[in-house]
Amino acid sequence: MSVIALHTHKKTLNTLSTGCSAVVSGFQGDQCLCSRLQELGLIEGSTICLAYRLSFGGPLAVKVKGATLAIRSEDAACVLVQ
Amino acid sequence: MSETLLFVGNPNSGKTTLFNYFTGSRYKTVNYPGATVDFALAEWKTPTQSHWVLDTPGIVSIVPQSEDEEITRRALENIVPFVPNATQKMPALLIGVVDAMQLSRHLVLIRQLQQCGYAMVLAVTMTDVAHKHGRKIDFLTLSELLNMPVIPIEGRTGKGIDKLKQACCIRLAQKGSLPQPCPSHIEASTLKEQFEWAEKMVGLVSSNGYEKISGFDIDAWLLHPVFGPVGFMVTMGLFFTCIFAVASPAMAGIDSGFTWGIASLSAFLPAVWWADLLTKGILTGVGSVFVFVPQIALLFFLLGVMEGSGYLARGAMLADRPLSAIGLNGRSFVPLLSGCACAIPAMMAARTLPGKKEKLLTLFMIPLMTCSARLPVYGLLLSLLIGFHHPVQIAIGMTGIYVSSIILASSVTAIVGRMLRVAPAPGFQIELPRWHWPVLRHVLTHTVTQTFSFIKKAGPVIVCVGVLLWVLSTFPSPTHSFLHTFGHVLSPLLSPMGLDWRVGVALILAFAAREVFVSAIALMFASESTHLASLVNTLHHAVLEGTTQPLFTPASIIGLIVFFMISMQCASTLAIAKKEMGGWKLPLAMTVSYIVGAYIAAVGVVQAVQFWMG
Repeated sequence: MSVIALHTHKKTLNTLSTGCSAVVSGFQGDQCLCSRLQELGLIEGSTICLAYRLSFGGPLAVKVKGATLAIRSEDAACVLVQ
Repeated sequence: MSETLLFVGNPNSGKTTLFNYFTGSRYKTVNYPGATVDFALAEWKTPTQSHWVLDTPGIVSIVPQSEDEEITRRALENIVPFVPNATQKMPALLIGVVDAMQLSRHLVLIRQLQQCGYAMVLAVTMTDVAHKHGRKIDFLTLSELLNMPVIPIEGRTGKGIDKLKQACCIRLAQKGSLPQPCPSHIEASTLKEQFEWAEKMVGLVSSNGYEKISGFDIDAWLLHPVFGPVGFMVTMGLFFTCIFAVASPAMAGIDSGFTWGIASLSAFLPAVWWADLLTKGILTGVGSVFVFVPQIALLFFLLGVMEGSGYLARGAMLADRPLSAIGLNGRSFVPLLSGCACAIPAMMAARTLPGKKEKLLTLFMIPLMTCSARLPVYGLLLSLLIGFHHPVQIAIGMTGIYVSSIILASSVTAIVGRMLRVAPAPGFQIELPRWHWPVLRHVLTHTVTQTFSFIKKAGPVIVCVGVLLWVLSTFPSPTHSFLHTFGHVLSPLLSPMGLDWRVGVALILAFAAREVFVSAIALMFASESTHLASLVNTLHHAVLEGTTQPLFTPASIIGLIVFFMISMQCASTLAIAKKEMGGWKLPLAMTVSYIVGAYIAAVGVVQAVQFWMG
């Protein structure tokens, strides 16, 4: 039960499928990267939509607050979503 | 007394476009002392006073991340190094620039600046785009809420500029308190508060949120997992075809124009040393700078079009995966792309890279890209190898050189990346701007300023090296000059490459600029003209000095191609690298290792080919 709860809580931005919307619920990992992502508008509580995803683990594009941001797939793993 | 106004805003907020409208595109780019970041400075005359207006690099937050963002921060804190005869340390007024379609993101920076206490006027750009998407903004309420003048500006026409100027005049007349120093770090909780505040403001003044923009979504194709990369390859192919197809005839034209002009001038001048210096030293040097102007201008024009349309950011996103494999970043894409035309603007473009590691690695990779100065050399060598009446085979050979250069440059970068102990940038992020039709006037202004900047930066170095090489090749006497002596000294080094001292002299002369190799070879082998057919014919009959063996064998030609692929043979690149790397140590290490590496690789290839061909 608790394992499942932990698992659902740890859903990250890079696991979203294309076209899906979610709400940013927190950050994990590199501090510097997380603060940069927050400056760009990926703030806790904001609604985001995964718009495009390149092949071979390339960057993905996220729509947030009217902007489209391209970020690396592995960097997107720092963003927790619900 | 003149005061200084700063344009401040997020990247892609339409700041530079607005600056163009505000100044009527009459600005000059200035180099910031101690750094290599260019910024645009213009004089703005009101009926009573004249002021300085400064465009700063776009920032997302007042805490800087890259060298150019750092410049904005420095300008905010002290404008004295930026403007001539500054009477005040702090800027008198900031013109904050925000995009109407991204108000809630862009207002955060405005909030941060306002909290520091700066006097501000807010310009909201792209109101025409917002209007088209059915977004209504109540500017009057926004102005009251923010407690600063808010002026809507139409992106395409610049309508609203006069009101902005009026507001600036009024605001300048009011004296406020001096701003506080900006914080060097912003807590996540503070940032969250600022975003929530901005979101609230937008909710109060704007009619709707971020509804889905209807219509054809071109990004669904251009950023498609399969069609995206394919489209990218096609675009790059077209880009290079365009540069070389248009610029090559122009280059050839300028080259023969200068050759003709110099020949007629030297026929007219008396045969004294100063006439020789003027024609063979100075004018030839100037000529070798101007030969590059058409394609540098074309490069900046095409980059401007791609930037104005929004494709450049998408290109960076598409290139990130392959570039990250060798330790670079998607943002290195633009410098490397420019490096295929000329290393100098490429190195200047590298300064926008966040992260010291990516910046240094990009600077290391740029000299290995196939710049246009190598093309005449490869053209000559391939014609010698294959025969100049086989254009298809030459084109295949050229493509082969391009591909091997990219493989080589990537491998070197990957190796250097493992050796460099500097911090990389935190990931890769880039904002993908909305698609626009590029505004031709702005692209042209950008092209002209950047091209002049290239001439100013590269010109003096190339001319100086030209004069120096003239001195070395003229004294004590033209047939027994220092250069000849030096060439003979180099002779033992050249024989493993299958070459003799005459090619060595041409290789030294090519240090002024690589394409000088062609005319130097013509000079050394006393070909009547630099016209390819007659030059190739002369070279075919050239023999190794003191023997009857042909000089230009497949082995020695391939060896020379390999040498030119690797060797750092460009004095102006070295000069720019010194500026961008901030010291002599790294650029000199780079130059020496590329020259030594080029020599070793060339000797290896020559020996291998000779062995293989028996």
